[in-house]
Amino acid sequence: MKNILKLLLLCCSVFLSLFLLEKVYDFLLLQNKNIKASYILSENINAEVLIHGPCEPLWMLNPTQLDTLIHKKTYNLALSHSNFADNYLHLYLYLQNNQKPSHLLLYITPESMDERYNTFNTYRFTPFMKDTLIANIVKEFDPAYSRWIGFPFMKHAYYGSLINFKAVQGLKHYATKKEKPFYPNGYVPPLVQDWQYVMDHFIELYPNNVEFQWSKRREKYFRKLIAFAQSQNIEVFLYEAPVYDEAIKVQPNRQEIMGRLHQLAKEVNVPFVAFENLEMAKDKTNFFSTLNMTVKGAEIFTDTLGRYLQKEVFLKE
Amino acid sequence: MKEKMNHFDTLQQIFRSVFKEDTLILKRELQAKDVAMWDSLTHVELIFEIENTLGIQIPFERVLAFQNAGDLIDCVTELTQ
Amino acid sequence: MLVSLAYLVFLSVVLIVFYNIPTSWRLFFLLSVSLLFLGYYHFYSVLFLVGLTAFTLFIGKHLQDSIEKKAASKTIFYFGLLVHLLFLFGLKYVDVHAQGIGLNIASGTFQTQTFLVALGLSFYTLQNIAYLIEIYLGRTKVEKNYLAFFTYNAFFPKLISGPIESTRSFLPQLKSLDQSFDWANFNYGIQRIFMGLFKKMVLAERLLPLVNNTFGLETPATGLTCWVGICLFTLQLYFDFSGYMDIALGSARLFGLKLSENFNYPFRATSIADFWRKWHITLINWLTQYLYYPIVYRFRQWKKASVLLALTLVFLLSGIWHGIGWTFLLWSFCHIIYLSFETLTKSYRVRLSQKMPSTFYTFLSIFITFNLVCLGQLFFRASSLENAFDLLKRVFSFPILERPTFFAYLADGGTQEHLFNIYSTFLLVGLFLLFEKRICQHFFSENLKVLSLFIGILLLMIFGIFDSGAQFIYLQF
Repeated sequence: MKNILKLLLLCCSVFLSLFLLEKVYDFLLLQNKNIKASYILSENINAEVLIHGPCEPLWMLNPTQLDTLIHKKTYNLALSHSNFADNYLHLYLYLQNNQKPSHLLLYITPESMDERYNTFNTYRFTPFMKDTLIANIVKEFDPAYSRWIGFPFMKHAYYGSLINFKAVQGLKHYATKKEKPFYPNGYVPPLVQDWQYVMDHFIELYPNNVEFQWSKRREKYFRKLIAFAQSQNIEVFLYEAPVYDEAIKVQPNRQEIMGRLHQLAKEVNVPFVAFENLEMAKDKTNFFSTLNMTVKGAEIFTDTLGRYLQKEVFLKE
Repeated sequence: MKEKMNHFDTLQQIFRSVFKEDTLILKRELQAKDVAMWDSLTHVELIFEIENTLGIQIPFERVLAFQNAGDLIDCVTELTQ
Repeated sequence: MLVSLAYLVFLSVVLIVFYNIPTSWRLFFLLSVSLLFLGYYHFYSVLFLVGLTAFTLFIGKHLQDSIEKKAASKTIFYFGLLVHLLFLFGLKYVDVHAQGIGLNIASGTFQTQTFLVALGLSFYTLQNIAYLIEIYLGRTKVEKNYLAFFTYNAFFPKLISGPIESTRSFLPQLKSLDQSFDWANFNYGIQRIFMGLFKKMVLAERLLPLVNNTFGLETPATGLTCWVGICLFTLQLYFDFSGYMDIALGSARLFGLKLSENFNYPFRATSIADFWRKWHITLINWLTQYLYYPIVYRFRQWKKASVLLALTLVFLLSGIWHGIGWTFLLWSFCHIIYLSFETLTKSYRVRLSQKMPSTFYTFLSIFITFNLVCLGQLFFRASSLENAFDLLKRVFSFPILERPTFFAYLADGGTQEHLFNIYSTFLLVGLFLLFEKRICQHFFSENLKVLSLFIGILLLMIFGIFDSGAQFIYLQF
């Protein structure tokens, strides 16, 4: 009898503590201003132009520089390693606490449609699992995770290595009443500055060139993202940034996929501009990998894109 | 009885020389862990020296079964009778 | 396999049924669920196990009969031995590889889990061999309770990765399964299982990415960083393996059965010989009993040389058994050299220890032993000879210690989050190793330690790695 009571006491106290811990983590993660999802939910950014996509636009387009060219308040919502579903949910979260932007600049390349590049980052959504839209999409991309979240605290524990630090940082931000994130306009300068031999690595990894594959699921979420933006009366502008010249040579079906992308853009009725053959694409110092630009390259391209947008999009409106 | 004592002295001599401890006192309860030098290697040397000195052969099964010096003394006594 | 919710559910169901059926059915029940358990993971293994066990019983019976009739027993014995040896090595290299279990040297991967599985499936073969030898030497009688003997080989907690049990200690327990449910066993069992889960999910899994980064082909780490990374593999393997053992021993205890210990705080070993008395004890006992001692005894007139010969043969065989490849042979050579050195310098070292303060000598011995073991394990883990020597070259290249990047290389980059994770890993592992004996003695108790378990479970939930495989750990393989 004593043993059963002890066991019961243990189970109850563990469950209760985990339940409380879950709430504490929910709270702390939302206090962490360096997490974009938390920041956009606590601050009214109310940007007129939103930059969105995976890591390339994240460290390519600096809103401060872009603002001087297009004279509109811009925020960079891009997230490293994210796919369209990830992007879609972040736009959804952004609109919960902010006025609708007039324009969404969405980065898209053949890589965006290939499941081998970027992914859905479940850990970014752990505090929002009560939201059915988010929970459903998480379930589609990460069923293993979704099976566990009924257990108290498991929704954070499952990706603990990607959560613990952020919760502690959240505590720090809460204690110091921090209001702005480390990168206030969402732009993150690239950590690496020199060429990473990605090309050499690339050729080693794919001796027979790179064949892009087209993912139906990527297309589905691309369409969802566009439809969602359009339903909110947000103008979407699709663009492809320059790719390091040498890389294109080992990608035989790049142009074919680009054709499909143009077709898709036409179908969903949004403009798509590919900035592929710019002079800057020949200079290795503008890149640290095939798609990712150095600060120098990023500044050149931001300037190009800003001028283009001002002339072809904003002045025409 | 005298015979047995002699074996005991001989064994103690062998223990002392194999384990390099001049002051070692052979007791029935003596175990490997009590002697710094007693390990699997010196154990074999011990057996070999005993076999050589007393002109006996200790069967393999017995070698493995020794728990302490007492078992060994009994075995030697049994084999020399 | 033992670290999954499915296993815990399976265990609970089996346990409830076990204590609620007539005692005469229990043995058959245990055997059936064990075979189901194995069949679930690897169907053909069931056939191997059943076939080989039946074969052993058959050969054993004939062996004893011929010994009793003073007929030629040698042929039967060696035939039985040969068949087992063929399976032991054949299964490892042919079937196991084809099934993707075991380590795949060609692609340079090392997966601790599959490695342990491959080991485990060989263990009942070793048990069978031991059984036949015991009968041949007349030290044991043929087992008449076939059901018990089958269960002795198939018992699911020990099936995956041991321990190797001798017929003397484990079989009698299986033949008297009339115990009623006992809280002391239950408490011990679940606490032991918890300890295993903690070692595996928190300590081993957190170390895994650091080890993979070190042994990865493009590690830029040099000097001390590289050496620390190499040493971490030994720790990771220990937590992995001994964690499995805790789960196995804990699970068995829930049924009132006691399995043999396989580890005895090996990082407190003061010599390599001592290390081998504390690491994978049941395998070493087997090798000592059936390989080392017979060789030494046979050649005892050679004195020291007989020991050196036995050491060499035992470790060469052990190395070949662990896997094909030069790296495993080098691992063998390391230990042959270490142990020969220890054998030859024993008297000198004993004298040296008497001249030094004993604490200092012990500490120094532990330190040297640990580093030597890690050096050996480097060859165990390295994907190829080049990989191993490249790592060794890095250890001896500059900078020996570069403070800002000391952890960054191990941690996959130097962001604050990476550093936070690596610091917490080091803290957890360090504290655990420092107080290991006390923690284990506290938890391996027949009383339920409510507060300690409570703290332990919270630590497991916060610092445990749950998404093994999916996200970032095995991604590099």
